[in-house]
Amino acid sequence: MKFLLYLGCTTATKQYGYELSLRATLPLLGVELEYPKDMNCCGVPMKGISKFYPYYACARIMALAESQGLDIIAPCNGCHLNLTETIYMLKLNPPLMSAVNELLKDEGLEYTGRATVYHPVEVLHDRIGVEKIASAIKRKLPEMPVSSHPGCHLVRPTEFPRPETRNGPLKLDRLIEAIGLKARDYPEKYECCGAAILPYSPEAAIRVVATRIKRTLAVGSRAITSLCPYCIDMFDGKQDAAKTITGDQSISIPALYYTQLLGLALGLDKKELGINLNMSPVEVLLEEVKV
Amino acid sequence: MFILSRRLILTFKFSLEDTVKELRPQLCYQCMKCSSGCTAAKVVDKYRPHEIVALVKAGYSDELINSDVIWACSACLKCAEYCPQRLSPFEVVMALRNEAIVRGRAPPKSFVEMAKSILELGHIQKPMYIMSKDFEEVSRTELGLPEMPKPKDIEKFKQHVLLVGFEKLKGIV
Repeated sequence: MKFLLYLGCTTATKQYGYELSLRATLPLLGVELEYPKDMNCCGVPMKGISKFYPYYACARIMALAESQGLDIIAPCNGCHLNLTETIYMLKLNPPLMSAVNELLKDEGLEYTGRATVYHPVEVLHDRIGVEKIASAIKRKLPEMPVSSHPGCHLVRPTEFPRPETRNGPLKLDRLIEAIGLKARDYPEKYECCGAAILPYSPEAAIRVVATRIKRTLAVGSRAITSLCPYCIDMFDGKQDAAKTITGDQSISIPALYYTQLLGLALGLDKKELGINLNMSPVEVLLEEVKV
Repeated sequence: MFILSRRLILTFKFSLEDTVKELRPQLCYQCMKCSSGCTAAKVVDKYRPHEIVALVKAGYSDELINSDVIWACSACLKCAEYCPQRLSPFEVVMALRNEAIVRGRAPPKSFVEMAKSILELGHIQKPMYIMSKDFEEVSRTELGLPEMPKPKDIEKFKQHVLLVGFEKLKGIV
């Protein structure tokens, strides 16, 4: 399996732990990653500025993948949704498709609709498979309760095919169990982390993530994991701010990418996985898994 | 130099009236399901998606466009998912935001910065230096990661981005 790694902006500019852990773990499971030479923003936060920009930006990304004959792996939920939406909207709207292609032609590119887009959760669960991951790991992590936070755009909107559905267990939860951990549900699992409110009001956004963290602590989870850079940016990086704003000092839980946990199970070093870049109290978790 | 056809300019021309017509806010019967689940409504007191839809339906779009409340949406898409009439308050809010830009209203500062950065680098921000747990300042090079790719012909990219709607930001940026 070979994919073009389209990281998007958040992962490539500050969530280095995600990029490091993706690059370290996926090749061990037989996935080849090609890094692009030419890339642009997918346009998720720019939807409010112009509804047409995401179509052009995403078509450009897909055209670049087509020019290399590869499919895309998009580790960000926002990018994944925007790319999927563009594929559908352009196929349903031929005049828009030809207009976008007119712009791309000027850059020597063309989008035909051949390339598809995958999220790491699909690659890990559907393409590699839970059994293969369970047999590939070097050691099982201890059976401790971990909550997954899939993130809005992995489950919504149902208008377009999404990697996860709310019917039955999540793929992400099955993946968590494959490396020995216990997946624990919590009441606000399918809710929003609040990242998109940050530009309007940082305080409001942090209040959102604070309630999510309190809910995971209430059900006894020992860590929180996700495969979305926005979610982990909030859960991992905003805990101190959440303590200050809400005045609740109990807000403290290790927050890691699933690929970082997977890397630990595959016997990789914590530095290779960028775990030393996480801001949340990950040491507590590392002690328990004995690394 | 590539010459813009009239058709191309018209395709990327935003019209609030047409967009709202497609979104059919008149179907809303104010059940408030969107507001009861809304992420932003729980933390921003004045933000209520059902009220926004009602105002648009009653022809008060101008008031909304002049207010900053439309920028509070967290894009979690729950409103669109749970609407019994299958309309999307999220899309209505996005249409109002687009119209605000067309009319030269400034969005919150972070959006302007992100837009500026897209025009310069093709991404919403530059790779940042972050602090590791051992108090080291690291960025991509220190971590052994390759340089972040930019659009190959940034000038052409910029030209196209301006055409697909960023032109309107010029007065604001």
